[in-house]
Amino acid sequence: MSNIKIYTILFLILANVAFSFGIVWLEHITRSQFRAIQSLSNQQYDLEIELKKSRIEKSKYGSLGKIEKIAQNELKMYIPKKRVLINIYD
Amino acid sequence: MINSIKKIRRVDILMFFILMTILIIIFRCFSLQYTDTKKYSNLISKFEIKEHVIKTSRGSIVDRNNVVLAESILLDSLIITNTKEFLKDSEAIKSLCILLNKDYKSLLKEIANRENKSFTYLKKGRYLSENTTNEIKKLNLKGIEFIKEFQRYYPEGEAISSLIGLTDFHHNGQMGLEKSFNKILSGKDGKKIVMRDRHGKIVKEIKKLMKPIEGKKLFLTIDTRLQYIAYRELKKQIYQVNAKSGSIVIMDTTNGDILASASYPSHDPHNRKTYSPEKERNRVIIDSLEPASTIKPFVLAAALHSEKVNLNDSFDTNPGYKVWGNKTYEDIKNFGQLTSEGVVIKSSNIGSIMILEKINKKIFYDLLEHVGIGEKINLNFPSEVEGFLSHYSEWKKSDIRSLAQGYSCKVTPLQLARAYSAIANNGLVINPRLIKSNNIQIYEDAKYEKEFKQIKNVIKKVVQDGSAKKAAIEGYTVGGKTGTAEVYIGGAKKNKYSDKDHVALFAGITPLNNPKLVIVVVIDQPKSKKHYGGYVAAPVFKKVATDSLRILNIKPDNIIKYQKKVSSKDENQDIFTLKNPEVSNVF
Repeated sequence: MSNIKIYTILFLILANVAFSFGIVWLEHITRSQFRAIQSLSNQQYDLEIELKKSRIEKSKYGSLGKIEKIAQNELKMYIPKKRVLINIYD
Repeated sequence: MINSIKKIRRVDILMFFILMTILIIIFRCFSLQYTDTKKYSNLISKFEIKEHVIKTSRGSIVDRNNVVLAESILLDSLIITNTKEFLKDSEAIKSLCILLNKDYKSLLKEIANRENKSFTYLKKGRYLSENTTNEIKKLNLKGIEFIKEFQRYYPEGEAISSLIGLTDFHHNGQMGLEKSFNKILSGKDGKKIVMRDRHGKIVKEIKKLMKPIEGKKLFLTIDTRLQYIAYRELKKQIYQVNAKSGSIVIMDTTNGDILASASYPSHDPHNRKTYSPEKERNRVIIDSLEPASTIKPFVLAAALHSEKVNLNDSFDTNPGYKVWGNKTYEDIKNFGQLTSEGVVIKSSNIGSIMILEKINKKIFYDLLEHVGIGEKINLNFPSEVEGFLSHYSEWKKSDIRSLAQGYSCKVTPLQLARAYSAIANNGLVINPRLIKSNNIQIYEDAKYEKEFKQIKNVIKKVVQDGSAKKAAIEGYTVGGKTGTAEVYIGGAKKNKYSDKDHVALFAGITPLNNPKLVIVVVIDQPKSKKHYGGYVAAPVFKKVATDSLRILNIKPDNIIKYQKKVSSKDENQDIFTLKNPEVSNVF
C-alpha cells in the first residue's frame, strides 16, 4: 500500500473522529442553549405569576373593605353623622 | 530488506488497531442490542420523545377600573409518590405536620392503605405558599413531589361572589360569570412533541403541534367600590331588620352599565363550606318579584299618555278601602281626596286602580312593554329569568286591579332598574350591560317623553313629601318610589298572599336634574315592626347613593337648599360627635 493511500485512510479516520466530536459538541451547544431558553421562559413564567400575585395583593389591599377596616379598627376613624356641603364658589 | 519489513510491520500494526477498533464497536453494538437490553430500554423509556401539554392559565375578570375580581395563579401542591419511603422519617413528618397545620395521627390515617397508589394528595397540602414550599423542601422528605396547580383567587370575596361565580377543581366555570363566559376565560392548552432526558427534563423541542391560546380577560362594567358599598349596606340592613335576603342593583342611566349587583346571603368563594345553592343566587338577575307600588309611576304615565287623566284630576279614596267584585282593596290609611299625582306620592292602591280603570288596557300594556317589564335582558348570565307580563287580551278586570297595585306581573330588580332608567332618560330605554365590550343598546322612542318628564317631577315629590322621605340625600335631587309586596304563598293555598311576609322595595334616581344613577333596593321578608319599603329599603338607597355619588365625583345639584338646612349651631355640633362606626356590627 502506498504512503498516499495510508495517509488518506488516516486522514479520513481522523476526519471521521473530528466530525463525530463536532456533532457531539454541536449537540451539547444546542442542548445548553435550549436549556438557557427554557430557563428564561421559566423565568418569564415565574415573573408573570409574580405579577399576577402582586395584582391580587394590590386589589386585596386596595379594596374599600380593607381600607375601611384599617381606618376604623387601627386609626379609630369614624363616619361623620351628618355631612356638610360647602359650595366653594360662593 | 529490513526497511521493507519495517514498513510492512507499521502498516500491519495500524491495520490491526483499526480492525480492533471496528471489532470493539461491533462488540459494543452487540452487547447494547442483546446483553444489556433491559437496562438500556429502562433508561431509554425516560429518554424519549413524547407529546407535552403546554398549560395555559384561565383569563382574569376585572372591573371597569381594571381592578382584579378573579385571577388564576400557579402554586405548588404536595403529593406523596412513595408512601413507604415517606413513612421512614417520622421526625420530618412531624415537622411537615406543623408546617401544614395538621395533626400527625390524622396524616397517618390519611395515607394509610394508599401504598399501592401512584400518588396521594394531602389535605391542606394543596396550593402552598412559596415560603411553605421552601420550608418543606428543607425537610428533605423522601417519597414526595411538588406539582404545579392553578388556584383561582377572588380578592373581593363575598361582596361579589354571587355575580362572579366559581370554578370547579378542573378550573372550569361552575356558576355565575365564570360559567357563562367559560369558553372565553379558559383558553386552550397547547401541544408539542419534545425529547426528554433520563431525568424527565425536556432537552429538545421537536415540533409544536398546537399553539396555546391564553384565556382572555373579561372586563366588567362593575365598579368594585360601589359593589362593596352596596353589599355592605345590604348586609347591614338585613341584619338590622332580620330579613331573609336582599339585593341591590346600581345602574348608570347614561349608558346602561351595571355598576353594582349585590346579593345577600352570599358565600366566601375561598371557602367551599360556606357555599349553598341559596347563597349562590344573584337575586338581581335571577329572582323575579312582583313590583308592588313601584309600578304606580308607570300607571300614571300610561294614564297621562291616554289623555284621559291629567295630574290635577281628583280621585276619592274615602274611606281607605273599596270593594270591587268580591274583593276588598285597601290603602294603609284613609288618604281621602287625592289628585292623580297624589295617588303616586301617597302610594294609594285605590287611587291607582281608579286611574287604571279609566284608560284602555292596551295603552298600559304598551307602556310596560316599552320599558321592558317581563322582557329578558340577555346578559348571558346562567339562569337569568324573563319576569312575567301576560298579554293585555288575557287581562280580566281583577287582573287590571292587581296590575294597578303592582301584582300579576313579575320583574327582576334589574328589569325594574331598566324601567326606572326610562323615566330618568325621558322615555329612552337603555338595556343594561355587564360586559364592557358589549355595545350600548338604546331603544330610541320619543313616544312617552312628555309623560316621563312629568313623572320625574311626581317621583321627586314622593321623596320630598311622600312615602320615601328616608331616601332624600342632602345636596342632591332624588326621585323614587317605594313598594311593599305581600309574599305570594301559592301551593295548597292558591291565590293567597301572606299577611306576615313582605318584600320591601325602593327604586330611585339621582341626581334627578341630570340623572346618572338608578338604584333598586329589595329587602325580602323583613321582620321589623315597620316592613314598608319607605322604612326598610329607602334608607339603604340613601346610604348607597350618598357614597356612590361621592365616589363617582358627581356634583351636588341641590346644594343651596341644604346649606340653609345645616346653618343652625346644634346641627353643626352634631357633625363632630364621635360615633361608633356603623359597619362594625357586621364586619
